[in-house]
Amino acid sequence: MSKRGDTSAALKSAPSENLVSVLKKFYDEYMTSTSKRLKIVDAYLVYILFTGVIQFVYCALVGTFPFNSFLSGFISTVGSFVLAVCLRLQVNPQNKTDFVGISPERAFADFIFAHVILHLVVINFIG
Amino acid sequence: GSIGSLTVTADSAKHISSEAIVLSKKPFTSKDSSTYELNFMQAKPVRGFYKIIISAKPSKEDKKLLGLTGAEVEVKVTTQVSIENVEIGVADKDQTTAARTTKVQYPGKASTVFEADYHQKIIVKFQLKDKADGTKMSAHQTFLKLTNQKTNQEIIFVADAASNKFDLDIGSSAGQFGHLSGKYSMELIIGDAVIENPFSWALGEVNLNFPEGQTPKDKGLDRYAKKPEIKHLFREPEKRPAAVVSTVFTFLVLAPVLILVLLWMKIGVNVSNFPMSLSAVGFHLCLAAIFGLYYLYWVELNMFQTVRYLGLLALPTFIFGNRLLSGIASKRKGEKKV
Repeated sequence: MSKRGDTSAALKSAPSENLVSVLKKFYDEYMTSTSKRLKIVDAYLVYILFTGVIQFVYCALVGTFPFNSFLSGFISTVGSFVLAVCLRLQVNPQNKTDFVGISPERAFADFIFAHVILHLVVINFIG
Repeated sequence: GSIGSLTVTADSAKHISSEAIVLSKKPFTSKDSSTYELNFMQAKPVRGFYKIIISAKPSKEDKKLLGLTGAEVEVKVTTQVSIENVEIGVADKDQTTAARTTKVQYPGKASTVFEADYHQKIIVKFQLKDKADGTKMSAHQTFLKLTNQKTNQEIIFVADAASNKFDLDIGSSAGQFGHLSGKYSMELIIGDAVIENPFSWALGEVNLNFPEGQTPKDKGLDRYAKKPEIKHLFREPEKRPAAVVSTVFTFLVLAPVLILVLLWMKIGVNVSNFPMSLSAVGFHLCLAAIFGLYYLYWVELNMFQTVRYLGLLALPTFIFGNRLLSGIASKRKGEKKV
Protein backbone atom coordinates (compact mmCIF):
# COMPACT_ATOMS: atom_id res chain seq x y z
CA MET A 1 0.00 0.00 0.00
CA SER A 2 2.09 2.89 1.25
CA LYS A 3 5.35 1.16 0.50
CA ARG A 4 4.26 0.20 -2.96
CA GLY A 5 3.13 3.75 -3.56
CA ASP A 6 6.57 5.05 -2.62
CA THR A 7 8.30 2.81 -5.10
CA SER A 8 6.04 3.78 -7.98
CA ALA A 9 6.38 7.49 -7.11
CA ALA A 10 10.16 7.12 -7.14
CA LEU A 11 10.01 5.54 -10.56
CA LYS A 12 7.76 8.26 -11.92
CA SER A 13 9.83 11.14 -10.68
CA ALA A 14 13.13 10.08 -12.30
CA PRO A 15 12.53 8.62 -15.77
CA SER A 16 15.98 9.66 -17.04
CA GLU A 17 17.80 7.47 -14.52
CA ASN A 18 19.24 4.44 -16.12
CA LEU A 19 18.07 0.88 -15.58
CA VAL A 20 20.81 -0.07 -13.14
CA SER A 21 19.92 2.57 -10.59
CA VAL A 22 16.24 1.69 -10.86
CA LEU A 23 17.01 -1.90 -10.19
CA LYS A 24 19.25 -0.97 -7.27
CA LYS A 25 16.53 1.15 -5.76
CA PHE A 26 14.04 -1.70 -6.18
CA TYR A 27 16.43 -4.09 -4.53
CA ASP A 28 17.03 -1.78 -1.53
CA GLU A 29 13.33 -1.21 -1.15
CA TYR A 30 12.75 -4.94 -1.27
CA MET A 31 15.38 -5.75 1.33
CA THR A 32 14.09 -3.26 3.81
CA SER A 33 10.38 -3.61 3.46
CA THR A 34 9.62 -7.27 3.01
CA SER A 35 9.27 -9.36 6.13
CA LYS A 36 11.63 -12.21 6.82
CA ARG A 37 8.95 -14.77 6.15
CA LEU A 38 8.34 -13.49 2.67
CA LYS A 39 12.06 -13.36 1.98
CA ILE A 40 12.32 -17.02 2.88
CA VAL A 41 9.57 -17.84 0.43
CA ASP A 42 11.20 -15.66 -2.20
CA ALA A 43 14.49 -17.47 -1.77
CA TYR A 44 12.61 -20.72 -2.30
CA LEU A 45 11.05 -19.28 -5.44
CA VAL A 46 14.45 -18.36 -6.81
CA TYR A 47 15.71 -21.85 -6.15
CA ILE A 48 12.75 -23.42 -7.95
CA LEU A 49 13.24 -21.05 -10.85
CA PHE A 50 16.88 -21.97 -11.26
CA THR A 51 16.10 -25.67 -11.13
CA GLY A 52 13.45 -25.28 -13.82
CA VAL A 53 15.70 -23.22 -16.06
CA ILE A 54 18.53 -25.70 -15.83
CA GLN A 55 16.17 -28.57 -16.68
CA PHE A 56 14.93 -26.69 -19.69
CA VAL A 57 18.45 -25.89 -20.86
CA TYR A 58 19.38 -29.58 -20.58
CA CYS A 59 16.37 -30.59 -22.63
CA ALA A 60 17.13 -27.96 -25.27
CA LEU A 61 20.71 -29.21 -25.39
CA VAL A 62 20.30 -32.98 -25.64
CA GLY A 63 16.82 -33.36 -27.06
CA THR A 64 13.63 -34.66 -25.56
CA PHE A 65 14.39 -38.35 -25.47
CA PRO A 66 12.65 -39.49 -22.33
CA PHE A 67 10.04 -36.86 -22.97
CA ASN A 68 7.90 -37.99 -20.08
CA SER A 69 10.79 -37.56 -17.68
CA PHE A 70 11.51 -34.08 -18.93
CA LEU A 71 7.86 -33.16 -18.71
CA SER A 72 7.46 -34.52 -15.23
CA GLY A 73 10.54 -32.71 -13.96
CA PHE A 74 9.60 -29.48 -15.61
CA ILE A 75 6.02 -29.63 -14.43
CA SER A 76 7.27 -30.36 -10.95
CA THR A 77 9.24 -27.13 -10.96
CA VAL A 78 6.45 -25.13 -12.54
CA GLY A 79 3.88 -26.55 -10.12
CA SER A 80 6.06 -25.92 -7.12
CA PHE A 81 6.67 -22.38 -8.31
CA VAL A 82 2.96 -21.75 -8.67
CA LEU A 83 2.16 -23.22 -5.27
CA ALA A 84 4.90 -21.17 -3.62
CA VAL A 85 3.57 -18.01 -5.24
CA CYS A 86 0.12 -18.85 -3.91
CA LEU A 87 1.59 -19.36 -0.46
CA ARG A 88 3.40 -16.05 -0.66
CA LEU A 89 0.23 -14.27 -1.71
CA GLN A 90 -1.82 -15.80 1.04
CA VAL A 91 0.78 -15.25 3.74
CA ASN A 92 1.50 -11.63 2.86
CA PRO A 93 -0.23 -9.53 5.58
CA GLN A 94 -0.73 -6.76 3.01
CA ASN A 95 -3.17 -9.00 1.14
CA LYS A 96 -5.18 -9.92 4.18
CA THR A 97 -8.34 -8.35 2.84
CA ASP A 98 -8.28 -10.57 -0.25
CA PHE A 99 -8.05 -13.81 1.69
CA VAL A 100 -10.54 -13.48 4.50
CA GLY A 101 -10.61 -16.47 6.78
CA ILE A 102 -7.42 -18.06 5.53
CA SER A 103 -4.74 -17.87 8.19
CA PRO A 104 -1.08 -18.29 7.19
CA GLU A 105 -1.16 -21.67 8.84
CA ARG A 106 -4.09 -22.72 6.69
CA ALA A 107 -2.22 -21.44 3.62
CA PHE A 108 0.80 -23.48 4.58
CA ALA A 109 -1.32 -26.58 5.14
CA ASP A 110 -2.86 -26.14 1.69
CA PHE A 111 0.62 -25.72 0.29
CA ILE A 112 1.80 -28.99 1.82
CA PHE A 113 -1.31 -30.86 0.71
CA ALA A 114 -1.05 -29.66 -2.85
CA HIS A 115 2.63 -30.56 -2.92
CA VAL A 116 1.92 -34.10 -1.76
CA ILE A 117 -0.49 -34.60 -4.62
CA LEU A 118 1.76 -32.85 -7.15
CA HIS A 119 4.66 -35.07 -6.26
CA LEU A 120 2.56 -38.22 -6.48
CA VAL A 121 1.64 -37.28 -10.03
CA VAL A 122 5.20 -36.28 -10.88
CA ILE A 123 6.65 -39.54 -9.61
CA ASN A 124 4.00 -41.44 -11.52
CA PHE A 125 4.90 -39.67 -14.71
CA ILE A 126 8.64 -39.73 -14.37
CA GLY A 127 8.73 -43.34 -15.47
CA GLY B 1 -41.20 -98.29 -21.75
CA SER B 2 -41.18 -98.30 -25.51
CA ILE B 3 -43.36 -96.06 -27.55
CA GLY B 4 -45.07 -98.81 -29.44
CA SER B 5 -45.72 -98.73 -33.15
CA LEU B 6 -46.04 -95.37 -34.87
CA THR B 7 -47.48 -94.30 -38.17
CA VAL B 8 -44.80 -92.16 -39.81
CA THR B 9 -45.74 -90.05 -42.81
CA ALA B 10 -43.76 -87.74 -45.07
CA ASP B 11 -46.07 -84.78 -45.23
CA SER B 12 -44.21 -83.06 -48.04
CA ALA B 13 -40.90 -83.05 -49.84
CA LYS B 14 -39.92 -79.73 -51.37
CA HIS B 15 -37.10 -79.00 -53.78
CA ILE B 16 -35.26 -76.12 -52.17
CA SER B 17 -34.25 -74.04 -55.19
CA SER B 18 -37.30 -74.57 -57.39
CA GLU B 19 -39.84 -74.85 -54.52
CA ALA B 20 -41.53 -77.74 -56.33
CA ILE B 21 -43.38 -80.23 -54.15
CA VAL B 22 -42.38 -83.76 -55.06
CA LEU B 23 -44.26 -85.83 -52.49
CA SER B 24 -47.37 -85.44 -50.43
CA LYS B 25 -48.57 -87.54 -47.52
CA LYS B 26 -46.53 -90.65 -48.32
CA PRO B 27 -46.35 -93.19 -45.49
CA PHE B 28 -43.12 -94.79 -44.29
CA THR B 29 -42.93 -98.57 -44.06
CA SER B 30 -41.93 -100.00 -40.72
CA LYS B 31 -38.81 -102.18 -40.80
CA ASP B 32 -38.75 -102.96 -37.13
CA SER B 33 -39.99 -101.35 -33.93
CA SER B 34 -37.76 -98.27 -34.28
CA THR B 35 -36.84 -98.00 -37.98
CA TYR B 36 -39.12 -96.61 -40.68
CA GLU B 37 -38.24 -96.46 -44.36
CA LEU B 38 -39.29 -94.32 -47.27
CA ASN B 39 -38.21 -94.94 -50.82
CA PHE B 40 -37.62 -91.35 -51.90
CA MET B 41 -36.12 -92.16 -55.29
CA GLN B 42 -39.35 -93.83 -56.32
CA ALA B 43 -40.75 -90.38 -57.00
CA LYS B 44 -37.89 -89.80 -59.44
CA PRO B 45 -36.84 -86.47 -57.92
CA VAL B 46 -34.78 -84.04 -59.95
CA ARG B 47 -31.19 -83.47 -58.74
CA GLY B 48 -30.75 -80.92 -55.97
CA PHE B 49 -31.44 -80.38 -52.30
CA TYR B 50 -34.78 -81.33 -50.75
CA LYS B 51 -36.48 -80.63 -47.47
CA ILE B 52 -38.73 -83.46 -46.25
CA ILE B 53 -41.22 -82.71 -43.48
CA ILE B 54 -42.08 -85.77 -41.41
CA SER B 55 -44.80 -86.38 -38.83
CA ALA B 56 -45.41 -89.39 -36.60
CA LYS B 57 -48.58 -90.56 -34.91
CA PRO B 58 -48.51 -93.10 -32.09
CA SER B 59 -51.04 -95.88 -32.01
CA LYS B 60 -51.92 -94.89 -28.48
CA GLU B 61 -52.36 -91.19 -27.70
CA ASP B 62 -49.61 -90.10 -25.35
CA LYS B 63 -49.45 -86.53 -24.17
CA LYS B 64 -45.81 -86.89 -23.10
CA LEU B 65 -44.47 -87.33 -26.64
CA LEU B 66 -43.15 -84.13 -28.25
CA GLY B 67 -41.93 -83.21 -31.70
CA LEU B 68 -44.41 -85.41 -33.48
CA THR B 69 -45.04 -83.06 -36.36
CA GLY B 70 -43.00 -80.79 -38.56
CA ALA B 71 -39.65 -82.56 -38.26
CA GLU B 72 -37.44 -81.41 -41.13
CA VAL B 73 -34.82 -83.53 -42.85
CA GLU B 74 -32.55 -82.31 -45.65
CA VAL B 75 -31.80 -84.72 -48.44
CA LYS B 76 -29.41 -84.32 -51.36
CA VAL B 77 -30.21 -85.99 -54.65
CA THR B 78 -27.14 -86.39 -56.79
CA THR B 79 -26.86 -87.27 -60.41
CA GLN B 80 -24.32 -88.15 -63.02
CA VAL B 81 -23.31 -85.54 -65.56
CA SER B 82 -22.42 -86.03 -69.18
CA ILE B 83 -20.68 -83.46 -71.31
CA GLU B 84 -21.53 -82.98 -74.98
CA ASN B 85 -21.02 -80.69 -77.91
CA VAL B 86 -17.55 -79.66 -76.86
CA GLU B 87 -15.97 -77.27 -79.35
CA ILE B 88 -12.52 -75.74 -79.15
CA GLY B 89 -11.47 -72.95 -81.44
CA VAL B 90 -8.98 -70.16 -81.91
CA ALA B 91 -10.29 -66.77 -83.00
CA ASP B 92 -9.06 -63.24 -83.41
CA LYS B 93 -9.56 -60.92 -80.49
CA ASP B 94 -12.45 -58.97 -81.94
CA GLN B 95 -14.44 -61.93 -83.27
CA THR B 96 -17.12 -63.54 -81.13
CA THR B 97 -17.04 -67.05 -82.62
CA ALA B 98 -14.19 -69.03 -84.06
CA ALA B 99 -13.98 -69.59 -87.77
CA ARG B 100 -12.91 -73.19 -87.39
CA THR B 101 -13.70 -75.24 -84.33
CA THR B 102 -12.63 -78.73 -83.40
CA LYS B 103 -15.19 -81.01 -81.84
CA VAL B 104 -13.91 -83.28 -79.11
CA GLN B 105 -15.72 -86.23 -77.63
CA TYR B 106 -15.31 -87.15 -73.95
CA PRO B 107 -12.94 -88.78 -72.96
CA GLY B 108 -10.94 -88.30 -76.11
CA LYS B 109 -8.37 -85.68 -76.93
CA ALA B 110 -8.08 -83.21 -79.76
CA SER B 111 -5.82 -84.65 -82.42
CA THR B 112 -4.25 -81.41 -83.61
CA VAL B 113 -2.21 -79.03 -81.51
CA PHE B 114 -3.80 -75.59 -81.49
CA GLU B 115 -1.76 -72.48 -82.18
CA ALA B 116 -2.63 -69.19 -80.52
CA ASP B 117 -0.95 -65.82 -80.63
CA TYR B 118 -1.16 -62.91 -78.25
CA HIS B 119 -3.68 -61.11 -80.43
CA GLN B 120 -5.96 -64.12 -80.57
CA LYS B 121 -8.24 -65.84 -78.13
CA ILE B 122 -9.16 -69.43 -77.35
CA ILE B 123 -12.86 -70.33 -77.20
CA VAL B 124 -14.08 -73.54 -75.56
CA LYS B 125 -17.80 -74.32 -75.62
CA PHE B 126 -19.54 -77.23 -73.97
CA GLN B 127 -22.90 -78.50 -72.72
CA LEU B 128 -23.63 -80.37 -69.55
CA LYS B 129 -26.46 -82.86 -69.40
CA ASP B 130 -28.06 -84.66 -66.50
CA LYS B 131 -27.69 -88.36 -67.26
CA ALA B 132 -30.82 -89.29 -65.30
CA ASP B 133 -33.37 -87.23 -67.20
CA GLY B 134 -31.41 -85.71 -70.10
CA THR B 135 -32.06 -82.10 -69.08
CA LYS B 136 -29.43 -79.46 -69.50
CA MET B 137 -27.69 -78.59 -66.28
CA SER B 138 -25.06 -76.21 -64.99
CA ALA B 139 -22.24 -76.91 -62.58
CA HIS B 140 -20.67 -74.69 -59.94
CA GLN B 141 -17.15 -75.64 -60.84
CA THR B 142 -16.27 -75.28 -64.51
CA PHE B 143 -12.57 -74.59 -64.93
CA LEU B 144 -10.12 -74.67 -67.79
CA LYS B 145 -6.61 -75.46 -66.63
CA LEU B 146 -3.60 -74.77 -68.84
CA THR B 147 -0.35 -76.41 -67.79
CA ASN B 148 2.98 -75.33 -69.19
CA GLN B 149 4.53 -78.59 -70.27
CA LYS B 150 8.06 -77.46 -69.48
CA THR B 151 7.70 -75.61 -66.18
CA ASN B 152 4.51 -77.33 -64.95
CA GLN B 153 3.03 -73.94 -64.16
CA GLU B 154 -0.78 -74.16 -63.95
CA ILE B 155 -3.05 -71.32 -64.95
CA ILE B 156 -6.74 -71.78 -64.23
CA PHE B 157 -9.65 -69.93 -65.84
CA VAL B 158 -13.32 -69.98 -64.91
CA ALA B 159 -16.07 -70.46 -67.51
CA ASP B 160 -19.04 -68.19 -67.94
CA ALA B 161 -21.68 -70.09 -65.95
CA ALA B 162 -24.67 -69.02 -67.98
CA SER B 163 -23.38 -69.90 -71.41
CA ASN B 164 -20.85 -72.61 -70.46
CA LYS B 165 -18.21 -70.98 -72.58
CA PHE B 166 -14.59 -70.07 -72.02
CA ASP B 167 -13.29 -66.92 -73.64
CA LEU B 168 -9.55 -66.76 -73.16
CA ASP B 169 -7.91 -63.55 -74.33
CA ILE B 170 -4.27 -64.54 -74.71
CA GLY B 171 -2.93 -61.00 -74.88
CA SER B 172 -4.55 -59.68 -71.74
CA SER B 173 -3.80 -62.78 -69.69
CA ALA B 174 -0.16 -62.82 -70.76
CA GLY B 175 0.87 -61.73 -67.29
CA GLN B 176 -0.67 -64.82 -65.74
CA PHE B 177 1.34 -67.02 -68.09
CA GLY B 178 4.49 -65.17 -67.10
CA HIS B 179 4.97 -64.40 -70.79
CA LEU B 180 6.30 -67.92 -71.28
CA SER B 181 5.68 -69.08 -74.82
CA GLY B 182 5.45 -72.78 -75.42
CA LYS B 183 3.24 -75.81 -75.40
CA TYR B 184 0.46 -75.91 -72.86
CA SER B 185 -1.91 -78.81 -72.19
CA MET B 186 -5.57 -77.95 -71.64
CA GLU B 187 -7.80 -79.66 -69.09
CA LEU B 188 -11.49 -79.12 -68.45
CA ILE B 189 -12.54 -79.56 -64.81
CA ILE B 190 -16.25 -80.01 -63.98
CA GLY B 191 -17.64 -80.44 -60.47
CA ASP B 192 -20.66 -79.62 -58.30
CA ALA B 193 -22.28 -80.59 -55.02
CA VAL B 194 -24.89 -82.76 -56.76
CA ILE B 195 -22.60 -84.26 -59.39
CA GLU B 196 -21.60 -87.82 -58.59
CA ASN B 197 -18.93 -88.08 -61.26
CA PRO B 198 -16.84 -84.92 -61.38
CA PHE B 199 -13.96 -85.12 -63.84
CA SER B 200 -10.83 -83.47 -65.11
CA TRP B 201 -10.58 -84.07 -68.84
CA ALA B 202 -7.49 -83.46 -70.95
CA LEU B 203 -8.87 -81.73 -74.01
CA GLY B 204 -5.76 -81.20 -76.03
CA GLU B 205 -2.68 -79.07 -76.41
CA VAL B 206 -2.12 -75.49 -77.45
CA ASN B 207 1.01 -73.63 -78.46
CA LEU B 208 0.98 -70.11 -77.06
CA ASN B 209 3.13 -67.35 -78.51
CA PHE B 210 3.87 -64.30 -76.49
CA PRO B 211 5.79 -61.26 -77.74
CA GLU B 212 9.52 -61.55 -77.20
CA GLY B 213 11.44 -59.31 -74.89
CA GLN B 214 9.28 -59.79 -71.86
CA THR B 215 11.42 -61.42 -69.25
CA PRO B 216 9.43 -64.07 -67.46
CA LYS B 217 9.10 -63.45 -63.81
CA ASP B 218 10.23 -66.52 -61.99
CA LYS B 219 9.07 -65.21 -58.68
CA GLY B 220 5.82 -66.81 -57.69
CA LEU B 221 6.35 -69.86 -59.88
CA ASP B 222 7.31 -71.91 -56.90
CA ARG B 223 4.81 -70.83 -54.36
CA TYR B 224 5.68 -73.41 -51.78
CA ALA B 225 9.41 -73.10 -51.75
CA LYS B 226 11.20 -71.40 -48.91
CA LYS B 227 10.71 -67.67 -48.96
CA PRO B 228 13.65 -65.28 -48.55
CA GLU B 229 14.47 -64.68 -44.93
CA ILE B 230 13.07 -61.47 -43.48
CA LYS B 231 15.64 -59.63 -41.49
CA HIS B 232 13.85 -57.79 -38.73
CA LEU B 233 15.40 -54.56 -37.69
CA PHE B 234 14.45 -53.69 -34.17
CA ARG B 235 13.64 -50.08 -33.70
CA GLU B 236 16.89 -48.25 -33.23
CA PRO B 237 16.99 -46.93 -29.69
CA GLU B 238 17.03 -43.17 -29.57
CA LYS B 239 20.36 -41.49 -29.29
CA ARG B 240 21.15 -40.79 -25.70
CA PRO B 241 23.53 -38.06 -24.64
CA ALA B 242 26.92 -39.02 -23.33
CA ALA B 243 26.89 -40.16 -19.74
CA VAL B 244 29.18 -37.30 -18.84
CA VAL B 245 26.70 -34.70 -20.01
CA SER B 246 23.87 -36.33 -18.07
CA THR B 247 25.90 -36.55 -14.89
CA VAL B 248 27.05 -32.97 -15.14
CA PHE B 249 23.52 -31.80 -15.57
CA THR B 250 22.30 -33.92 -12.70
CA PHE B 251 24.63 -32.04 -10.41
CA LEU B 252 23.79 -28.76 -12.04
CA VAL B 253 20.12 -29.36 -11.36
CA LEU B 254 20.76 -30.19 -7.74
CA ALA B 255 23.09 -27.20 -7.33
CA PRO B 256 20.33 -24.63 -6.70
CA VAL B 257 19.59 -26.40 -3.43
CA LEU B 258 22.90 -25.08 -2.18
CA ILE B 259 21.92 -21.62 -3.36
CA LEU B 260 18.67 -22.01 -1.41
CA VAL B 261 20.45 -23.03 1.77
CA LEU B 262 22.86 -20.12 1.39
CA LEU B 263 20.06 -17.63 0.84
CA TRP B 264 18.11 -18.97 3.75
CA MET B 265 21.10 -18.74 6.00
CA LYS B 266 21.70 -15.20 4.83
CA ILE B 267 18.11 -14.23 5.50
CA GLY B 268 18.32 -15.89 8.84
CA VAL B 269 15.96 -18.79 9.01
CA ASN B 270 14.65 -19.29 12.48
CA VAL B 271 15.72 -22.87 13.02
CA SER B 272 15.97 -22.39 16.77
CA ASN B 273 12.27 -21.74 16.97
CA PHE B 274 11.50 -25.35 16.07
CA PRO B 275 9.07 -26.57 18.75
CA MET B 276 10.20 -29.92 20.07
CA SER B 277 6.68 -31.16 20.51
CA LEU B 278 5.37 -34.52 19.39
CA SER B 279 3.23 -32.93 16.73
CA ALA B 280 6.11 -31.09 15.15
CA VAL B 281 8.46 -34.01 15.08
CA GLY B 282 5.66 -36.33 14.05
CA PHE B 283 4.56 -34.07 11.23
CA HIS B 284 8.02 -33.73 9.77
CA LEU B 285 8.66 -37.45 10.10
CA CYS B 286 5.39 -38.28 8.38
CA LEU B 287 6.09 -35.85 5.59
CA ALA B 288 9.53 -37.39 5.11
CA ALA B 289 7.88 -40.81 5.11
CA ILE B 290 5.52 -39.71 2.35
CA PHE B 291 8.38 -38.61 0.16
CA GLY B 292 10.23 -41.82 1.00
CA LEU B 293 7.13 -43.67 -0.16
CA TYR B 294 7.29 -41.73 -3.41
CA TYR B 295 10.88 -42.81 -3.91
CA LEU B 296 9.80 -46.43 -3.36
CA TYR B 297 6.99 -45.87 -5.82
CA TRP B 298 9.48 -44.71 -8.41
CA VAL B 299 11.73 -47.67 -7.78
CA GLU B 300 9.35 -50.57 -7.43
CA LEU B 301 5.79 -50.09 -6.17
CA ASN B 302 2.75 -49.62 -8.37
CA MET B 303 0.03 -46.99 -8.11
CA PHE B 304 -2.43 -49.10 -6.12
CA GLN B 305 0.02 -49.99 -3.40
CA THR B 306 1.29 -46.44 -3.26
CA VAL B 307 -2.16 -44.93 -2.90
CA ARG B 308 -2.97 -47.42 -0.16
CA TYR B 309 0.16 -46.57 1.81
CA LEU B 310 -0.39 -42.91 1.11
CA GLY B 311 -3.86 -43.17 2.59
CA LEU B 312 -2.40 -44.82 5.65
CA LEU B 313 0.27 -42.15 6.05
CA ALA B 314 -2.08 -39.29 5.28
CA LEU B 315 -4.00 -39.72 8.50
CA PRO B 316 -1.16 -39.19 11.00
CA THR B 317 0.34 -36.51 8.78
CA PHE B 318 -2.87 -34.61 8.83
CA ILE B 319 -3.38 -35.00 12.55
CA PHE B 320 0.15 -33.95 13.42
CA GLY B 321 0.16 -31.14 10.92
CA ASN B 322 -3.15 -29.83 12.16
CA ARG B 323 -2.02 -29.81 15.75
CA LEU B 324 1.33 -28.29 14.91
CA LEU B 325 -0.11 -25.49 12.85
CA SER B 326 -2.89 -24.68 15.26
CA GLY B 327 -0.26 -24.55 17.99
CA ILE B 328 1.73 -22.07 15.94
CA ALA B 329 -1.37 -20.09 15.17
CA SER B 330 -2.41 -19.79 18.79
CA LYS B 331 1.11 -18.83 19.73
CA ARG B 332 1.12 -16.16 17.08
CA LYS B 333 -2.26 -14.86 18.17
CA GLY B 334 -1.04 -14.84 21.74
CA GLU B 335 2.01 -12.79 20.68
CA LYS B 336 -0.10 -10.36 18.70
CA LYS B 337 -2.34 -9.71 21.60
CA VAL B 338 0.62 -8.98 23.76
